[in-house]
Amino acid sequence: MRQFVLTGITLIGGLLLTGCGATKIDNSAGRATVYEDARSPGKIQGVGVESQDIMAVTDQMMRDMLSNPQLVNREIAPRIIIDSEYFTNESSSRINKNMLTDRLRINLNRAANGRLTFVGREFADMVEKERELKRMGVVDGGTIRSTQATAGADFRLVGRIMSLDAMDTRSQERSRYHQITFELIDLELGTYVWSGMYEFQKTAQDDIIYR
Amino acid sequence: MNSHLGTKLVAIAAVTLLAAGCGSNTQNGYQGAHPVQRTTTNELNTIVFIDHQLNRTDITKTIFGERVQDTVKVTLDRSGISNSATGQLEVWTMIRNRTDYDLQIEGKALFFDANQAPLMDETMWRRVYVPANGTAIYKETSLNDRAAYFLVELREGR
Repeated sequence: MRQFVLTGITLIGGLLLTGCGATKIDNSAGRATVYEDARSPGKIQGVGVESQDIMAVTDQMMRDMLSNPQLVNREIAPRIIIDSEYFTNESSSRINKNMLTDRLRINLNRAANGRLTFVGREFADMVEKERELKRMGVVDGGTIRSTQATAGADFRLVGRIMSLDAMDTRSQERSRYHQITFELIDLELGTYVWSGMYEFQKTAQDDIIYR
Repeated sequence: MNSHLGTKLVAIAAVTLLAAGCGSNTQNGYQGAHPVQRTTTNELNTIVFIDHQLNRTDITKTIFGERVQDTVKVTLDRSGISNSATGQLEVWTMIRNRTDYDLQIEGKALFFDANQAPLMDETMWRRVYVPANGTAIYKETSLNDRAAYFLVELREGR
């Protein structure tokens, strides 16, 4: 009997070693923190435009623009203005448009690596003032070069943020469909050279305040 | 009599120990052996499910040998890579929903150069809507023509 039990224990030990000897994974949650991944929905979610939407839409538009041969395969890098001047918010969502246009321009500029040139028309006044000081001899000419004029642009970003709202008055559930359009206009011909669109719809008990 | 009792005790102990030792919690409360995907290395040029609820393989070692069980909600019917007109790497996959419910899948691609070094080209999560028993395409493009390898991660939409 004793021999039998010993054999049994040895057998169990052997089974445990062979059966469960793989890598042990500690699957417990990580340390609590106030930081959240801005690429994914956070703890507070509503039907408006949120961080993950801004990051996703700009990422998709950037990749789409970079895969357009009309834009990036030119012998001379085209000059593009990307700012929020002609990018309007016609939606019922509260959002700073610059978050979209700035993110798009910055990421495009970094990824394009010289294939596209961006004109800072938003800061034209600042450039003109400095040029004037240089021309008047108040300051010297700098170290790079002097040009007859500042850069004229080939294309400019235009677009709209639009929304369609629906609400169930009984449950107070709100649904909002967003349509965000991005287009590049040829500043000589007035034609559209590239177009992109991003759409999403969210439904929730809308008790979130966006500031 | 004693011999029978001993046999029973040993059998019960073996089953209990095996259940306690091999069973464990994985993500989202899923109870069972660790899915194979949890411990395998993600090779480049592969599309992986990081949400084990969607597609996983469980291998449970028993006294009768290994028991392999595949659990799928979503499968990848076809996948491929190509180069865009501007030389960027394009990766695509056809996602098939095997359930009777609409699903939202999110995908993210990471791109690597010819030496398999990261290009720090990581896309944002792209949401794909897959109708019940239907199919949808996930496609992503690298930022430049230096990308030679990819790794795509899929999870259920949040």
